[in-house]
Amino acid sequence: MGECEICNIVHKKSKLKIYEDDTVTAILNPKPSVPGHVLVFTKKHYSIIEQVPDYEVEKLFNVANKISKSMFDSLGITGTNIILNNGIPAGQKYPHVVVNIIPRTDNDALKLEWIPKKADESELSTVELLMKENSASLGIKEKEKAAPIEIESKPESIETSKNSRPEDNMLIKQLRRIP
Amino acid sequence: MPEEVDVSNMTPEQIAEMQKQQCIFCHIASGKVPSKKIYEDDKCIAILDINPAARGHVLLFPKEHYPVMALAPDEIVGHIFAIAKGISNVMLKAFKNEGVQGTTIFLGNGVSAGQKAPHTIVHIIPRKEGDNLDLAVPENKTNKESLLDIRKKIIQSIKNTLGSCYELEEEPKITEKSNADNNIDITKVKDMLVQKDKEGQDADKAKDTGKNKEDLKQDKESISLDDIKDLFNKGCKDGRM
Repeated sequence: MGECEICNIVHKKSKLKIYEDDTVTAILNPKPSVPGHVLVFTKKHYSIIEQVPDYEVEKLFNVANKISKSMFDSLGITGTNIILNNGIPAGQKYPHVVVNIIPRTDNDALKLEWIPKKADESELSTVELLMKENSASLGIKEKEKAAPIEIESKPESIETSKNSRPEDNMLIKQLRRIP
Repeated sequence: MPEEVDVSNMTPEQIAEMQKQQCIFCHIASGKVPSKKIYEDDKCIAILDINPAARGHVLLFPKEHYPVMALAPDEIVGHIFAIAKGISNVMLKAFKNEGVQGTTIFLGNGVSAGQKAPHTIVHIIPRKEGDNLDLAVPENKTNKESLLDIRKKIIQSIKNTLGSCYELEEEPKITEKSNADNNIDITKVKDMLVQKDKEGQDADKAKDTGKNKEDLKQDKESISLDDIKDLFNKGCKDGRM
């Protein structure tokens, strides 16, 4: 763990830091693509985003989104990119999950774009199928704590029915209908 | 062809409503425009990009119309990116045999950042070694002055949007002036600073006179810098810098 450059930043005082809470840290990138380039990362060491629990992912990107908003408010820019490169082929630079927030202006030297390709209907259908086969657990979130036990609403409804007039109660109305 | 509409007499709500009606992604979300859906829940929808950067490129967006992500509430932002993580996971499994060993999660806010439609969209792109997509974030050299200059510009906004920021220890010197009219006990702080200053001088003297350094160290430790910082933070939290 002592080998991780990002973990080392987490644990020391640094003039690069701009934000910190119990889950995430944000710093000005000492090697910025453009001035104002910010890195946000989890304090805990995770090498890839798939390892980060959902509640930390939520926190991480909420902070990233707010830093992006701060850039609009203070840096006189016209855009921001929030980029997470995940895995070496994607250009991940550190063995620690890091989100880039990059301020953009109309004529900056950055590319960060792709050439859209054409995809025909049959290829898209194949891809759709392939992804759906692997998406069984998608949308089922891991919780920080176990979900609170839901208190059954039955006792409450009995309570309210006591206070209301019997003829207001749907159940009693139904009962009266029975011959 | 969209009709020309005179927006000058419209309320902001009416304009927003008009934008929604013209937004292709709102139509996809409502099902009016067909798409290859990968995932859908009450808050967001993920579809295949018909003009992908790479095979399997997914567009994930909130069902509600937000022109940029900064306008979306926390709950939506958090949810979208948690789903983005999930989709990234699906990609790594689904395209493993095709050599996919990474993903890029990409959000552009504004035209200059590559945003193509007025509906906030997160791109999730499967990545392969040597796929030649221009998505690596370049690194450049900078200097301490430039970094501190940016820090100075952005730090107040960070504090405003996030509720707090990372305070530098040097900052008390800058904020001392404005703290003068705060209700916190400024004399206490000043005394501490004076005492610290004196210690500094003592330390200098000690070098000359050879005074016991251990004693000095103990004196220093009796005043915590955090105490001073806390007092200033108290001032900052009142909304005053």
